Amino acid sequence: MVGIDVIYDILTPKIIITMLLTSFYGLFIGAMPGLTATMAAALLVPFAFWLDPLTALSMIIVMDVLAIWAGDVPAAFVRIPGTPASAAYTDDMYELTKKGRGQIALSISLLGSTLGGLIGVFALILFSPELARFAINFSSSEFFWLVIFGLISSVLAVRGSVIKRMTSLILGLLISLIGFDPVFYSSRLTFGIPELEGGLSYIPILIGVFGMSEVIRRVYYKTRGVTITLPPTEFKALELIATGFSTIRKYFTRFITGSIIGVIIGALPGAGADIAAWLSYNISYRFSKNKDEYGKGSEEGILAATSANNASLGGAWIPSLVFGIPGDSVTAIVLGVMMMKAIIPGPRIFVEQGRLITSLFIIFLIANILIIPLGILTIKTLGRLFLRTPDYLLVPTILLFCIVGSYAVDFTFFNVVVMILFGVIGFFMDRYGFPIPPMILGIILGKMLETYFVMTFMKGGIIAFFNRPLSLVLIILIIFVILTPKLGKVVIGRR
Amino acid sequence: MVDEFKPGSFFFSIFLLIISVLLLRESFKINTLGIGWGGPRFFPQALITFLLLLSIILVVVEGGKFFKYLTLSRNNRVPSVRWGEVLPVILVLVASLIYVLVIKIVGYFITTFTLSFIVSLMFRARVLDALLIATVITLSIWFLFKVLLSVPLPEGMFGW
Repeated sequence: MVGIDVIYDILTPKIIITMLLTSFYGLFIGAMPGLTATMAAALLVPFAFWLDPLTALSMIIVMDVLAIWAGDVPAAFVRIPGTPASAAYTDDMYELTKKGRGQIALSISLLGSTLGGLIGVFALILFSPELARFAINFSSSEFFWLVIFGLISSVLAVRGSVIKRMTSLILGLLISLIGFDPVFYSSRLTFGIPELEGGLSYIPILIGVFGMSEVIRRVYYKTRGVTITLPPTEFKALELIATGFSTIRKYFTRFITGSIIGVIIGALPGAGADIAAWLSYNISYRFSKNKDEYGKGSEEGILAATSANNASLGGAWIPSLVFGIPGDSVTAIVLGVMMMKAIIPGPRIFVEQGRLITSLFIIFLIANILIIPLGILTIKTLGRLFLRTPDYLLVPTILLFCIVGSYAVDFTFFNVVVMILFGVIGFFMDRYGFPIPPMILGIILGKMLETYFVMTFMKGGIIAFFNRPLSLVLIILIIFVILTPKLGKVVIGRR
Repeated sequence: MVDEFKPGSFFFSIFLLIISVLLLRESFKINTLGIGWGGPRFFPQALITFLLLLSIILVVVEGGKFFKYLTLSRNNRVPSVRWGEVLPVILVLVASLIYVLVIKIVGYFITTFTLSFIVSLMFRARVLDALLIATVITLSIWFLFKVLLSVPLPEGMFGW
């Protein structure tokens, strides 16, 4: 009986203790600006070397699931996304905190993450081969259109002048092109600065535009006699869970769409939780009836994005297990650990390592459920801490976390200078109506866009972008997303 | 909200225009490797051209708004920057940059303590509170990053 054997495998003190320790480790890493789940997974590899395969892999799964959720905590309380996966809805979370609903924002992300994550795991269990076969059909041309889709959605999902939105996107794309080009390795746009040859890491930029710009904003307004205060409203644990569930019930379509987008994006090699969250947030905005709330504390947007980023974690394991192609950067490390343990990924893994794979699926389920109690604990303790902290303690803490967090990316102070520079840019962009999200998505997707463009172009010129059915489907989807509001107006006008 | 510095948006558009021109100039230094379409220079130049066009439109639009504001205002003078409001921001930015320059020489503890202390004081903490806050922040970040995560924080000439 594989079922009972699997339960025995999991219910050992070693696995239980490892899961608990790594869940706290995941919460800690996620809540620390500048530290990513990928880095945390890499730090676990030396431990994995000494552990059996199940313990080693469960350690990474639990850490990853908890870290992605915990990235929302600093986003809500200090406007710094803990991990890039939380960047899409950082402003919404922080705006809700300003309205005294920070804990509610986190409870929505808590339930959205848990249930979205569970959908991701069920997709992994039930549809692995089918989803992997679908994902493998994506050629460079489909990836190109998918990236275009994401970028266009990011411009459409924010308010304000179209020129300013486009400028923000183009700036982001150009920033991503700094350094060696991904195909020909020509040095570009470095202005002779050697540190720019390797390109700019997007983590210091994220910390800069969200965290550092918040420090600047607080200092600036303080001198004008305006203090940014966060209402210290607190909610009971049961109240938080009930609100989370009622928000999911209210925006059920957003939740399901977000989870499905998360699974599909996760299953695509190279696209991770951050892209899933952006795409889901943008699509949710496009079809929302409450567009005005987006960027100003939209519960709907938070739910759509947060369910997508945790659902993508399960999705990312699909190509990894079935083809040995990593779905995201964490599963790339997972594959390394599998190789270290002589586990060969591929379609036969479900037969040859059936017991291990079933155990991993169950650990994935447990990890997602663990988010609820540990998350509530985190919301209550950190929430109290952040909301009652005066500016003279909070601002130097945010500033120092921004500095040391950027330095920790690759132990260079050049990243700190980049972070400060983008803090200033973010402050002015925000002040003069240039939305930040298109720039961030441009930075994340810019290199991918160029790589897929060049690869497709080299395969067959311009025709290669249009001669595959999946590409055409994506093009139609892009046109549909652009024209939706106009079509809607025409339909309403006729009625 | 407190009244904003009106010409800011116009000046920011000019700044973007200058950036676009500088980027365009820099893009001509890219080695094309003899490839035109799809080569290393193609993508950056296409995007920079787009940015240049957008910046020109922005300068025209924001410039129009600014001059309209000037015409409507009584004394027709460009409002001056209120340095009293901007100086604390400049101080924080300069202090952060000095921190980056000095940390390698002096080490983590003294620089981090000093920066936290200065920023705390800027937010009107009492001196004793600021000293305590700076100590707690310095030690907490050291413990989290250096002890728990093994991030090699600079030790400087004093070795700490």
